[in-house]
Amino acid sequence: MIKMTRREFVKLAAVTGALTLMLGESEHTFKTLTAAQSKTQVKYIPNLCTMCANRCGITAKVVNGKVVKLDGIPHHPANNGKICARGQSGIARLYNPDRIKAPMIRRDKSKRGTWEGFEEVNWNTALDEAAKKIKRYMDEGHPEKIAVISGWWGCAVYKPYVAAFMQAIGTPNSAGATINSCMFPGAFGWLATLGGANHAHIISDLEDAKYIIALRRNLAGVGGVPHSWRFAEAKRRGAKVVALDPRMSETAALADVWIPIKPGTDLAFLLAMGHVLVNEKLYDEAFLKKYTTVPLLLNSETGVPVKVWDDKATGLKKYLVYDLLQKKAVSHDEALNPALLGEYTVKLEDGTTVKAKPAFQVLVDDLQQYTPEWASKICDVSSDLIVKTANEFGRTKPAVIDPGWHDPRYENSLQTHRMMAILNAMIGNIDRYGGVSFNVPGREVNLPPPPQNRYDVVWGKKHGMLPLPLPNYVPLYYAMTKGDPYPIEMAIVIAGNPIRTWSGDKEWKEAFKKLNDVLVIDVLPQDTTMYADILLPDSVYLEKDFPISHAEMSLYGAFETAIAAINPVFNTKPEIMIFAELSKRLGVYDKFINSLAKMLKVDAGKLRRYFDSEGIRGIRRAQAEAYGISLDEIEKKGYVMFETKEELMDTMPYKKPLHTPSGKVEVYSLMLAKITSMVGEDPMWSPLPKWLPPKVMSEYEKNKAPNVFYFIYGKSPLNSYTHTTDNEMLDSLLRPDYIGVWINTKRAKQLGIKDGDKVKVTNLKTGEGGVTTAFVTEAIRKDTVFLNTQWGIESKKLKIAYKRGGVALNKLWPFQYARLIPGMLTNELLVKIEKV
Amino acid sequence: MTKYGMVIDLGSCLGCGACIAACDFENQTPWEEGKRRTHVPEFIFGEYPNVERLFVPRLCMHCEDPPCVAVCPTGASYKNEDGVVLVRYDMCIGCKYCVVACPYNARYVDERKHAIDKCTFCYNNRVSQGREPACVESCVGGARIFGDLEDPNSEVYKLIHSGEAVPLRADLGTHPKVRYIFRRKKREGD
Ligand code: SF4
Ligand code: SF4
Ligand code: SF4
Repeated sequence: MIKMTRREFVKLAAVTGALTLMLGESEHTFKTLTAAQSKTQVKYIPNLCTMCANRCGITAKVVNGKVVKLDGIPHHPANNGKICARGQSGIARLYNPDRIKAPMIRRDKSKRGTWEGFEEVNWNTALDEAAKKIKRYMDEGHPEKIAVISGWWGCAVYKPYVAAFMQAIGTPNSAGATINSCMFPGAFGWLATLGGANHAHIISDLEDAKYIIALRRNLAGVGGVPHSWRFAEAKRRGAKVVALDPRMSETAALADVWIPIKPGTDLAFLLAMGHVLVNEKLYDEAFLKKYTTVPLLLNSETGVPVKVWDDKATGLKKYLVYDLLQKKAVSHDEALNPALLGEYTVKLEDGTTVKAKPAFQVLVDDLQQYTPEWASKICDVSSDLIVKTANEFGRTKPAVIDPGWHDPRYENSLQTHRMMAILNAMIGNIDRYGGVSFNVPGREVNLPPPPQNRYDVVWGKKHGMLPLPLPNYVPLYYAMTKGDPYPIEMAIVIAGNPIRTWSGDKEWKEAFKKLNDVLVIDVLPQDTTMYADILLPDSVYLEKDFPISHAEMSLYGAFETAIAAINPVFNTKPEIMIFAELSKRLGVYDKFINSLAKMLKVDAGKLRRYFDSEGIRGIRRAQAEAYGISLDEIEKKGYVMFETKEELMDTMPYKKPLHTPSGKVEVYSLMLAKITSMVGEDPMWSPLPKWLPPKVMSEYEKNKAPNVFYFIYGKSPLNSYTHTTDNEMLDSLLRPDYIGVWINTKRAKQLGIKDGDKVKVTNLKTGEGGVTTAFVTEAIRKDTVFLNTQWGIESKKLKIAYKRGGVALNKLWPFQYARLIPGMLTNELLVKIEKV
Repeated sequence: MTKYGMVIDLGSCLGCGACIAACDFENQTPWEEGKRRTHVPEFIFGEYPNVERLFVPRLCMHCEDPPCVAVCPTGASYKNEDGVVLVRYDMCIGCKYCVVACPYNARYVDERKHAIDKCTFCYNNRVSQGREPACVESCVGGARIFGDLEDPNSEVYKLIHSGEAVPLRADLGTHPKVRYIFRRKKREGD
C-alpha cells in the first residue's frame, strides 16, 4: 500500500476524489478537509422517485452541481422517509453512460429492430420532423391512425399531460399495459365490488391490522416502500401474517405462516374460507345488511335480481329487499331490517308473485359445495389450515386481505380478486382502521366512459370484448397489422417498452415493423427504442420539474411535487416540454393548454401565462393558486398535507356512497349482473363468485413430465421495470436468487441441474423462451418454477443489462388473452426446463 | 458520554438491500461485493415445505474491545470518544493485520483510498450532525435501530437491557455494540 503524507492526501482529495473522499470520511480526515469543503456548495432539493410507480418522496443532495445522495423525505405520506435500493440508485440512472444523449433520426424503416442507421440531430430538426409526421395524419383527417403508447406514466399522474397532447392532436387512441398485463383483470374484481381498483384507489391500512393475509403479491419484497415499510411496521406491532405463495417470497419469509399453495388455486382457498365464515357465522351481519348488496332479492328460479331501478336523485341503483319488520319487499333504502337469509314470496307491481331469496342466502347456498376438504385437494393445502386461517381471519380484529396489485395471471384472476374483496366485506373492514381503505383518488374515482371511436371499443363490439375505461392492447395488434377495426399507422411511445414487456414478443415486433411512423420518447435505449424512426431523449426525474399531483400510495390527503435537482446531464428534454413544443409546431398549442387546464382544474389563461414564462414550474404555480396551497411550502418540503388519515377513514360507504352502481359494497355485483344479462352466464364474470379452475391445472396433469413445471414470475427488490436492469449500482447488488429461475432441489436433481447451471426455459406450447441460470432451492413447490423479471434485454446499447442476459417474460408469454376482459393470462402456461 | 450502537431486528429485515445502496452512495464505497461497509447475506434452511428464509444485515460490530485496533501497528485504527471504531486513512499502511484480526469480516482494502476501510457508523458525515446513519434512515423494514447505548431512554438501550437484542458470537469476547434480535418464527402449515 502506498503511504501518503497529509499534504498529498489533501491534494488528491481536492483534485480527483472531490466527492469520493470528501463525503463520509473518518473523523480525522474530515477535519483536514474542512478547508476544501468550505468551497463546496451543498443543496437539498425535493423530488419524487420514479424508479418504480410508487413515487416516494426524496431529497436530492447536490454538491457542486452533482447529485451525490438521495434520501427519503422524513414523514412523507407515502414512504415515511425511507427509500429502497432502486430509489437510492436513481443516481446511477442519472449518470448512466448508456442513456440516450441526443435526439436521433433514422430514415430507413427496414432497419427497425436494430441500432443501425440512426443519425444524431439537434432538437429543432427532430421536433420539426416529428411534427411533420404527425401533421400528415391530422391533415388527412385521420389523427386516429396515431396511437399513443405509454408505460405507467400513461396511467398514473402523467395521464393529464399525455391526454392533453392526445386531445390536441385529435386522436382517441392510447395504449398501455394496465388492462392486459398489469393490474387488470384482477383490478376489475375490486372495481366491481368496491368501485375502485386495487393499488390505484384501494390500499390496505396494513400498519393498523392485527391479521394480514397476503396473496398474489410479494408485499414485503417488491410492494414498493409505501407498502413494505407499513408491512414491517404491522409485524412489529404484533400482526400475524399469512402468506399464500408457491414460492417463499420475502413476504412468506417474514410471515408467521407460509402456505405454499398450488399456483392459480387461491380462489378455491378463498371460497373455502367463505364457506367457514358463513357456516360459523363469523361475518358482520349489521355491516352486510346496511352497507352491502347482499339483501338484494334474487328470483329463486332464474337467479336474476327481482327488481333493480335508477334513483334519479342520486344516480345510484335501487333494488328490492325483503324487510323483516314490515314483512314485505321494499326498496333497499326503506328497509328497517332487511333479510339476509330465507326465501320469501314477493308481490310484484303487476300483481304477480315470485319466490325470491336474498343474495346472501344464495351465496351461502353456493358456498356449501366449497368445503375446506374440497379446496384442500385443489390447493394442496391441509383443510385444517384453511379452517384455522378462516377462523383467525373472522375472529381477529382488525384483519385484512391485502388487495394486491398486478394480476393478469389466470382466467380466474377476476373472481379471485372479487373473493378477496368479498371476504374483507364479510368482516366489515371496509374503510376502517386496519382494513381495506381508499387513497384520495380512490375517494373521488372518476373513470369517464371510453371514447366510442377508440380502436379497442370498436373492435370489441365486433369481437365480443367489453369496452373498458382504459384501452386494451389486444385490438391494437390487429389495428396495426390488419387494419382491424381500422388502421393504426403511427405509434408515439412515451416511456413504455411494449416490445419487451407486452405479451407476444413476435407479434409486437411484427406490428412495429409494419407501422409507417414510430416516434419514441425515452431515457434509455431500450428494446422498443430500436424500432424508432425518431428518438427523443427524455430527462431523468432528477433533471426535471414535475407539477403538483396527489400522493397516491398513501392513506393521507397530500399534494406532492418534484423540483429539478440539476440541469440535464445530456441533451434531453422533459416530455411535458416535448408535448408543448410539438403542439406549437402543429398549431394546436391552444388546445393543448386548454385541455390540460380542464384536466388539472386550473385557469387556462393563467396556465398559459405561467407555463410560457416559467415552463413546468408555471404549471405548478397555476395549480398552487387553484388548489389554495402555498407554492413556497410545497417547493420547500416536496409535499403538503391537507387531510389526515383520521379525517379520511370511516367515510365510505358510511357517509358517502362508494363508486359502485348502487353506492354499496357490491358483494352481489350489479355490474357483473348486467354483463351476464348481456352476454350470458359464465363463472368468469358471475355476479356472485364461483369456482373456475385455472386452465393450466388440467394442462399440467395432461403434460406431466420430469421437466415440465407450472410457471410463476415476479420482481426482485432490485428490479421493477426493464429500465432498472441497466443500472450499475443495482447490477452490483444482484444475488443469484434475483437473476435466474427458482427450481426445487429435488426436481433439479432429477434433471441433473445444479445451482448456478445454465438452463433453458421454454413455453411448452410455443417453444419460445431463453437461457438463464438455475437457482436451486428448497424454498419453492416441487411442481413450480419461479422466474425473476425483467431480464432478457435485447438492446445491446443497454450494456449492463445485455450482459446479464436472462429470459424475457414476453417470450414465454404468448399472445393469448382471456374472454371479455382481456388479461393476458400470464401464468396460464407451462414451461419446460432443460440443462444447457 | 455517548456510546453509539445499533440493534438489528431480523424479524423486520426484508432483505431489500436499500441499506447497502444507501451506504455505497453516502460513503462512496466501491460498488462491488466484498468491498462494501455493509451487506445482507441471505440464508435458506430446511427442507420443503419446512423452510426458513432469513436475511442477516452485517456491518462492523463496533466492538468495545476491538481486536482490529489492538493489532494496528500505526494507530490508524482506533476507537473514538463515542465508542465508534474508525480508521485514519492517512496513517494506514495497508498491512491488513486488522482485516485478519476482525472476527466479523468487516474490513476491506479500498484501493482508491490506499487504505483499509470499514463502516464508520456514518460518524462524521451524519451522526455528528444529528442525523441517523444512511443505512438506518433508508432501512425500508425499519430493522436497523441506532442510538446511544448509555441513554436509558433510547430504543437501543431498552432493547439491549431487556435481553432481546444480543451480540453475534458473544463467545468471541469483543463486546459488539451492534446487536441482533432473533425473533423465533412460528411456522405452521403442512
Ligand atoms: S419504492 Fe423504491 S423505486 Fe419505488 S418509488 Fe419508492 S424508492 Fe423509488
Ligand atoms: S452505519 Fe454508515 S458506514 Fe456503517 S454500514 Fe451503515 S451506512 Fe454504512
Ligand atoms: S434496508 Fe433494512 S430491511 Fe432492507 S435489507 Fe437492509 S436492513 Fe434489511
